[in-house]
Amino acid sequence: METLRQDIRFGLRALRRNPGFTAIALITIALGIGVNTSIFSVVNAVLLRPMSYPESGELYMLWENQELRGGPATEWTGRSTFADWRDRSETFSHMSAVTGWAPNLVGDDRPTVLQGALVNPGYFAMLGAEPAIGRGFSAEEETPGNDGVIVLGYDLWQERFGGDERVIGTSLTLNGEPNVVIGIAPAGFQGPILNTAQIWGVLPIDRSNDDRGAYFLQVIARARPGTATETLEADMARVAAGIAQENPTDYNDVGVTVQPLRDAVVGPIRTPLLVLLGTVALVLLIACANVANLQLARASVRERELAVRASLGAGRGRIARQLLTESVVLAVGGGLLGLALGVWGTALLVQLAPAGLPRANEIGLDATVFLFGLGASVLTGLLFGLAPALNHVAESSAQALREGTRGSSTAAGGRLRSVLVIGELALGVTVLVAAGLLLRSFEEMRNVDPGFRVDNALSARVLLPSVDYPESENIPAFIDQLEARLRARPGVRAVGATNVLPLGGNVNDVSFGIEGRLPEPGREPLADSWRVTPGYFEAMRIPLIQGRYLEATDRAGGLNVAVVSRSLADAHFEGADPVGKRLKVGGVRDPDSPWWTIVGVVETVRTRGIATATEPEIYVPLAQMPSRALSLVIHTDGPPAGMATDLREAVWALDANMPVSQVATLESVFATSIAPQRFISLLLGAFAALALVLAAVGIYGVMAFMVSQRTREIGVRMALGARPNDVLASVMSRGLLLTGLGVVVGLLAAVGAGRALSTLLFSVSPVDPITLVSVVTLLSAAAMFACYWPARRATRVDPIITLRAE
Amino acid sequence: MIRLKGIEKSYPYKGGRTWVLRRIDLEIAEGDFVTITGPSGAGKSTLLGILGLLDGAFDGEYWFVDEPVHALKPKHRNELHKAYIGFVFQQYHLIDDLTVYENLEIPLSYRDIKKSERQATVADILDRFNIVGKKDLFPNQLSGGQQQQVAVARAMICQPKLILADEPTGSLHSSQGEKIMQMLKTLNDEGTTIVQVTHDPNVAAYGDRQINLADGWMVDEG
Ligand SMILES: Nc1ncnc2c1ncn2[C@@H]1O[C@H](COP(=O)(O)OP(=O)(O)OP(=O)(O)O)[C@@H](O)[C@H]1O
Ligand SMILES: [Mg+2]
Repeated sequence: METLRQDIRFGLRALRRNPGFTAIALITIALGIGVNTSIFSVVNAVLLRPMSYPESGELYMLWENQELRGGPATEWTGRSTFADWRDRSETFSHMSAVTGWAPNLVGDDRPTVLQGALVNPGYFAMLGAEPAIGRGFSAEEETPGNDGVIVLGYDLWQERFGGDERVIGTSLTLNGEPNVVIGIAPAGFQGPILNTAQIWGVLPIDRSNDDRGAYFLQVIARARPGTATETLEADMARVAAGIAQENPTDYNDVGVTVQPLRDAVVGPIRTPLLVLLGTVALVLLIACANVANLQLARASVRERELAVRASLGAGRGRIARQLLTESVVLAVGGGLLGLALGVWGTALLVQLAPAGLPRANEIGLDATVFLFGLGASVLTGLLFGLAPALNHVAESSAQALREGTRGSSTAAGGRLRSVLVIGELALGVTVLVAAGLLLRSFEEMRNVDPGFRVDNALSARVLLPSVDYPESENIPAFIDQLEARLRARPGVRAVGATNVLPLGGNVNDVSFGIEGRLPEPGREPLADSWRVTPGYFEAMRIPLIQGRYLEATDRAGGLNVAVVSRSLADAHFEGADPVGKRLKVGGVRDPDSPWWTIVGVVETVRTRGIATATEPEIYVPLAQMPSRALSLVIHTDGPPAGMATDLREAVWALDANMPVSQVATLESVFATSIAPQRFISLLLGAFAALALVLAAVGIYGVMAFMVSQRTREIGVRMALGARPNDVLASVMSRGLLLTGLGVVVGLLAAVGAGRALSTLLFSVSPVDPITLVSVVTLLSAAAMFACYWPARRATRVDPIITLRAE
Repeated sequence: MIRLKGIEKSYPYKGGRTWVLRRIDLEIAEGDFVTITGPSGAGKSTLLGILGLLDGAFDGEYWFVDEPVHALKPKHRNELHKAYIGFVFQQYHLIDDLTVYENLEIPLSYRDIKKSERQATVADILDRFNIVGKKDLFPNQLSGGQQQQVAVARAMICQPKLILADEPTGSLHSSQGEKIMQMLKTLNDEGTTIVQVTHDPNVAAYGDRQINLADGWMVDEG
């Protein structure tokens, strides 16, 4: 203990004596630990920590498993199926469906659209979040007609109602209908999905209305305490088999997937986060190698001192321990700085993170993160302290004391330094390749043709509540009027409307059947479907391939018509002309369901996301299949943002109570759809830049040290006739050799890294030649640049230094 | 071949200057064998460095083969050095990472001499110094005397017109030292100009002129 204290004191003194070295080492460690702490704090909150609900291990999500039908294993479900699951299962204590809800709140000022969710009674109890004031939903309120009750989010209650408890029992007008406030959710409560919801209503369940085949609900459930997942699965398999037996045509081969809630919520973000964590770990290793190199250089300068210490009786182990202590002191110092940096970095990360990052509200520094940062620092210190300590143990101190034979002992240090630099460059290549691949993927994604044009276009969401527009026939008339008004504005080229905007995260998928070739029951193909106004195609600029677009003459009561996508035509008409053929949309086997005649084929649109494969697509006229929630699209002459006010004015001139929400240019809708990829590529890019700088600093340090060690030798060579260019070439070729070896090793590692990344890549091969060549070029250029300065210094060595004795 | 006029050398010291060489006037003709002696710190190595065109920072005039060294750019000075001079350093200055063979080869390689020719020349000199058996050893595997032998051999290998040797026999046995001096004598007889620094009167006797330095001044010439 006494010696440890003494070692620490000596260590601090040695560090103070070398402020330059200490500063560079501290900064390097702080950067390494800082990025690691930041990323780890995200990983910790999102992937590692149990969810913030009590007994969160009992929470699951339930999905329709449609794999046997060639569908997804985690399909959403509808009311009937959900109700059957809940009523018939025996292993769950709570079960609630959740679906998005955007009620329009009309108050004193402009109508606003709130973000909300519809849930079932027991939802709050299931999540261990009984309302702070008032109560949650009761079982009777699920019956249609009794469902006019709401629970407010704590923040909404504070903002809109000043935290007044008398709001309980009062009635708010949502979508034109009265709703009684029955409770306030506890402060800070967030649902596991739809986590931005700030108001909750009841999802009414009507057992008389069978909606099997509709997929718009996600189901969360709490298992009875101590039930194994296999037991839950067996229970739900039994339930599914029962449902299938009762619904042989439209529910055969549908099972239930039971997935732990945390996996369901964070599953999609797991790989990207682990990739980021791996990357920053590599950056930390590079930082480690850098500091180890600095330490080695310093140790070899201190060789005499250490040799003298040894000759005075210090054992090798004793000296190695001293060096190690010094390193750990340095690392912990750097680590504390890094933690501070990490706090800031974490805040920055949360701020920059794309909206909807699950559990983002839980990200922060806690004891785990703190221990991680500190542990990583100590480990770092041991790692970079080990090199000089071992190096010292390896060399004979007698040699260090012998006059005139400098070199042999430094040669071992030199080799170790070279190995470290090669390793560092190799890690640099790996990180750069990973970042390069993701950046290229992102670039590819940005360049994907979504099937429509995003420039000069503005979109906005409007809602036509049934109170104000009781007859759905009124809807097309209103939209016609609105579109006409907008079209009359200067600078507007085309206006259209759709029930769902592509790339917005929502899809409407329905089963369909083509006349004369209906598949066997349960094997109906699915299509993404839209209800649009005739102007939609022009506003979105979706190219027509065959036949015609929808037209204003396609009205209710007339011939039911549809436009299909090239993807549908290709997959289901095998070269035949689809125009004139008929299909059924939904209710494929229902004799009452109408036939829709195909009048045109248009280009396929990326609906679900730029990187997701497209499905068959069907457009039907809004006039023939109205929808109350609509997205308007305006194609403008110039920059569209200025049109936002015109748009609101036009809407409010027709209906002052109509909320206008989600006003955004199509360009930003597109950008938002790839925001997660953008976020990850940018982060990786930043880490790669850091790695590049650290690697360049590393090779610079080694070359500069080598030149300073070889000053005398270079002087001799100059005295023996070497030209400056000979000297330059000799130093540079050594740097080139190190770089070359580093690059080769790095490329091998990068191939492995590419494999690990493959699920994140988009139309880029894990061994993409462009990325590899660019990385090698970039890194070599940086390394050569870093070597050039020491090499230049070498050419300036004056041969007369050879005349001077030591 | 060499003409020094009022050569002075000083280093900045404590705000002023400290003088290492004072008003040196000296002429050395081609074929001379000059010995420089003097107590430690007298400036012998410094003078040799200037004569050897390694050090251009001095005052006064230095004419070398009718070139005004005092007015030459370093580049030109280095070329002259390369063309005319072989230098034996007091501390040998062999390169640690290179074998004896490779150390001997350096001056040749900097003069763009063909590989085959280099091999022949190095083999010849190894033979003459009787160190063929040591050619693959590294400097730290040699005794001090052997290192000095290699240093002398390296200075001769390009057949320079002028050999400058700082204590060429400093750490050699007298027999080894004699051999080296014999070799220098032979070269001198063949026309090579030689300037050596030594403490040893026996070694000094090989020269035909002696210059004495003390505190930077030339005290007498014999
Ligand atoms: N770079 C320098 N800065 C200051 N003084 C120097 C420097 N180099 C040499 N000197 C001084 O110049 C003087 C002459 O040095 P020099 O090496 O020429 O002596 P020397 O006669 O060769 O001695 P020795 O016989 O010990 O080799 C010494 O007093 C030395 O301290
Ligand atoms: Mg000397």
